[in-house]
Amino acid sequence: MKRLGALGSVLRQLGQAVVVVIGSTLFLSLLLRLLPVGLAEIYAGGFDEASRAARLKELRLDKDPVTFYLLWLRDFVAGDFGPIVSPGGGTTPVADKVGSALPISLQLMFYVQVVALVVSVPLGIYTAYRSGKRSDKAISYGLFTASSIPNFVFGLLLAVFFGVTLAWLPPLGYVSPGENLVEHFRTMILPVASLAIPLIATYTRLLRADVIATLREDYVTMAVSKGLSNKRILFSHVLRPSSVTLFTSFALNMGALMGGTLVIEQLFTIPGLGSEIGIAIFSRQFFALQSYVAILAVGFVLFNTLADIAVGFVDPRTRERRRA
Amino acid sequence: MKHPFKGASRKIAAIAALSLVASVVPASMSSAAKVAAPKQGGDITVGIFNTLPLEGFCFGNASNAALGVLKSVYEGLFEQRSDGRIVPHLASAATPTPDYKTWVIKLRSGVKYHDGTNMDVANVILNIQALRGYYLASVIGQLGQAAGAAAVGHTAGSAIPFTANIKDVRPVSADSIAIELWNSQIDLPEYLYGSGRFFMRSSGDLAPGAASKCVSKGSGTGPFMVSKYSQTDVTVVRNPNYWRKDKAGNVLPYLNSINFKYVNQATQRANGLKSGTLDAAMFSSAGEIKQIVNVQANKSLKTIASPDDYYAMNMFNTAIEPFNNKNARLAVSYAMDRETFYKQRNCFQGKCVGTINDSIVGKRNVMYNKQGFIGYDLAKAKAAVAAYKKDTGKDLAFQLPADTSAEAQASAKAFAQIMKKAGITVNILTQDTATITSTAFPPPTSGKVNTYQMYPTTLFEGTGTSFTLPFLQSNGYSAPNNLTLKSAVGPLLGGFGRLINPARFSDPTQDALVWAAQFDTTSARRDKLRAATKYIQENAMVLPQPTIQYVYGFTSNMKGFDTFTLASGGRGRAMTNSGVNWTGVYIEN
Amino acid sequence: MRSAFRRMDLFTKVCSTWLAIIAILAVVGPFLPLPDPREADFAAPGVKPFSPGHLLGTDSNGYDLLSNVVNGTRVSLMISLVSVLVGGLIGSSIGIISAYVRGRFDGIVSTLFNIILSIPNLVLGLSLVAVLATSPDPSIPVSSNRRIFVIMLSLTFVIIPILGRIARGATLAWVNREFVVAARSMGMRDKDIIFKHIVPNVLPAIYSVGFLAIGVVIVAEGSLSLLGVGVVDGVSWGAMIARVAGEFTYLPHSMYVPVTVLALSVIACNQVGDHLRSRLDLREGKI
Repeated sequence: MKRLGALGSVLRQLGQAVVVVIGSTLFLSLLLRLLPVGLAEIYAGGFDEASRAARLKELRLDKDPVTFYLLWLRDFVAGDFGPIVSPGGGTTPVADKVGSALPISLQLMFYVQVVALVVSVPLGIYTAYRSGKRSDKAISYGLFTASSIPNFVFGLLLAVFFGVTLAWLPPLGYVSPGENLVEHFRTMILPVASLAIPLIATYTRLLRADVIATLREDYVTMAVSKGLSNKRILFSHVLRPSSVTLFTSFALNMGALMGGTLVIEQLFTIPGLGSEIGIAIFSRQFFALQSYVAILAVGFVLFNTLADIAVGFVDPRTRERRRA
Repeated sequence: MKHPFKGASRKIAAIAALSLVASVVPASMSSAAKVAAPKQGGDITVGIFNTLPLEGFCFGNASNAALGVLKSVYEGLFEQRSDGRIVPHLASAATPTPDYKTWVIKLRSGVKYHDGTNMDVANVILNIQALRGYYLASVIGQLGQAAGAAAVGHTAGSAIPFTANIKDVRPVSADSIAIELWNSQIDLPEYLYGSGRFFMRSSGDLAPGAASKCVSKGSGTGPFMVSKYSQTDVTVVRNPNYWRKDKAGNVLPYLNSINFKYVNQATQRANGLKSGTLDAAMFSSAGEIKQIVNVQANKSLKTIASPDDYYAMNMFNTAIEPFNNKNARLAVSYAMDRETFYKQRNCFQGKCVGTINDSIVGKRNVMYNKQGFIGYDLAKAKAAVAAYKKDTGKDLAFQLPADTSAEAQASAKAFAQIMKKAGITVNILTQDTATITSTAFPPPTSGKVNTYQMYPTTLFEGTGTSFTLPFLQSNGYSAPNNLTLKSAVGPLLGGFGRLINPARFSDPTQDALVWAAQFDTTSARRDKLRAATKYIQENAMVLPQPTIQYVYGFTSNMKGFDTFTLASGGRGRAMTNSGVNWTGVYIEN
Repeated sequence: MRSAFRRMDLFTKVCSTWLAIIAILAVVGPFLPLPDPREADFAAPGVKPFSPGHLLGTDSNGYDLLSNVVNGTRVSLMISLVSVLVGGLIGSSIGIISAYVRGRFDGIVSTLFNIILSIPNLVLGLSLVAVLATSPDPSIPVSSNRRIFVIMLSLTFVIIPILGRIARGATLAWVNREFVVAARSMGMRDKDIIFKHIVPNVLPAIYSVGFLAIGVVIVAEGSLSLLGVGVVDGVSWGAMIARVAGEFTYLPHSMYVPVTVLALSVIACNQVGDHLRSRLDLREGKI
């Protein structure tokens, strides 16, 4: 592997990505087959014997779970994300929904991560630097409190305060950046804030813990003895090696934010992937659900790979280890 | 039709409220009438509480707010005035023969669908046949029709029980059709009005293979045309060729476009209204009482409420234990402390929406009758529980399905707690809306029946019988008294009528009373209907609950929603369970 | 025990007392003379705190808030502690070992973690509850205990890869350090290296997320309640928060009560955890 170098690393990442996507979708596909009320019952329960068989064949529910899965996988790879099945028999392609919802979810995820990092990096360093002091405690307890408020409550609170009481921002809705950039940002502020708060708590705590650990390093003592300013030490010597766990968590949240924002998207009526997943769950569109999850898995793997590479840049020590 | 095959969580959540009595509606709207010429143009955003049906505009079974979206695009042959009278709309006249066995319906001329085709005799017959279920995939071959027509994919077939008395439809002239009936019927137009649900669609919508097209772009005759469709967000734009003009001869509608947005949280709908992000928003008293009270208290907003026409109830499944036993039904009926239930579910901070019902239907309905209504009486409830125990050797316990929403759960819990006082155990069965609906109303060809012991719903509505009697159709009916067995399509679907009968009635006395009343054409009809009501109440066949009221909130610059007049004159119903009619709505500067 | 308590600063004392109270309430809650948390007081819906008979008031349906908080402690505490402890223990052990041994084992572990992580938590929770804790015959509901067990199981399942990944990431940063390499070259046993050099350095990161996770798990159980797959009778902090979410604009106290209790508990957990850790770890920062 070593000799293959960069190419080998890319190939290995790619292989892992494929395994993850297959693993998660297969898992969900099999799980759905175990539902107490079977898929056949859900999608063809209302049909008489003759049309029932045709219907099951059309939806491939006459196949065994593994064959069913493999056929789905083949279609998915070919860009056919399967049908949304209407109770009356009609179908519409999932791909249409993905095309409109995915970019919106990506925007949301991007803004949330940027905001969370911009806030939590200085906070994390500051609380570590002032570790045990009153200001550290105040910030930490503030963050604990914020993280124990569910984001849907937080979102509603923001909507009432900034949307109605102060009337600064629209309490709901989505405007695409192409349509009106200013409005786009105005509609995004509240959902981004409600999603970013718990992340800020997590990131700050993680960075704080790692910075405290790094501050015990000998090279920090050395830097201090060289007479460097504390600020300089913190930002140029301590931050980089302390951000590995932060990056891990950052990458983890990429996937979660892409699809796990169901409640917030619904609250602020943002037509993203989270909303679509919600609709798929409540209208029992399991074929669509499986494709959504597959798309999330692809996104998750993609962002994780990027994060892994980023970690390598941040902390060369892990890069060496990873190559080994 | 609505709930039978496509549930809305609010409906099932619906063990609740009633209106501030119908008269409030006209009273609160005198000021708007003075305004001079309504302003043309404007784009508004409206928050609604249902998602749109998956099948878009092909679907006949939307409910509530989603139905309201469809109604901006589609219209029916008949409309209802605010005084309750059914008047022609896309039809221009309806004339029965003296024996009421044939009705000639004359069509309004010059009405065009959004796709440019004419609403003509052939198209209207196609529509009525579709309502009768002629183009359902599972019956099409058996009726010997063109095989290609099988692919329609809409589910208009669920109107079968409502149109079951229709024997045949045929053209009689270039602008008239004749509808022949099995039995004499004096209120056929009301059935064709279908409580505002039976739309005329372009022949293209009903054509073979249209399913995928009409999902995102249905073609009706209405004031607005679909421009963008998803389940959570629909935009309709002004129909430039709309057939109606206002009194002054100005073109209708006034608005350029309406964006209907599904806003799941009622609080957010209220926030949207208060901040001006939404120009209008709809609420249901079933679970959104707090927001309604909040919006009504806001001085810069206006509200309009639906009349007292939506009658919530819990259906007893009379075919299985425990409610196949009359004592069980009596016990629950006597134990139902409506006043307490109403106070908890319909009131907030001392303000209540609605009144407590005293019949299976409200005062505006022809079937309204207080006689035989079983009110709260704890002692009698306990006695009935004991009698049930004596009959069966069992304690009275049953299950109540409730969807996952906090409000449905709260309603179910309040109900269970009230029952507990009389020694009745209610086990709350939490299921998603789709499961509840498909269990209570199993699809027509599945051969299944409702297996819930009790089912909370709001089936009955309106001022006439068209949305009450079909739900009372009995399993016990045999041909010829079972109309759906008599219709061309019903037998192929195994007696369709029982499928909209979640109570699974099979009571011969009730059948006889309902049958006698439904097809009476004399002045004795009203008394016969009231007799049926009395029997149903005395025998505790259903458990009426406080009725549902729907409320629209508007920003104060919105006008015209309460002065809507109909094509055949008279004021239209300003607000129904599907919302306001948007035809005459405009924005005032 | 007594001396351990004495060594705490005042705030830590307050926090550990709070946790002790919560733990006691979890056990004795049902025996306290409080209104039934499942029964509404129809005569007093939405009353403010300090009303007669309702010390903390009621929600809009008339459910006593104090009684719900007290009785909800048991389920919330159990679900959060079990899933965070079990999930954290399993996750971080696997994470540390795989980062330490690397190679194929690490590859497999990472892939498995990623598979679980790539499914949205809510979808995973919903499907697990739907499959494992839903009765095929709707007329025979599953028992409340089975529901709780499956909820715990699915939340544990969610926690394992999160803490696993964080432990693995942190271990990667330490495993190549001079003192670890030195220990290895000196022939120190892997087990000892892990416990002596890796675990103490990795623990802070795990703690940081683990203690936050306690709150997150309680809230997550509430989200499951919102979707109808939470605790059957709805007596838990999460279910309570989910239930009053729609009304807190109009009756703020119904939300403040459970959120305050939850926030205090999370803060107390963190404070006590920090205290315990600092007692075990005497190293100090250099600046």
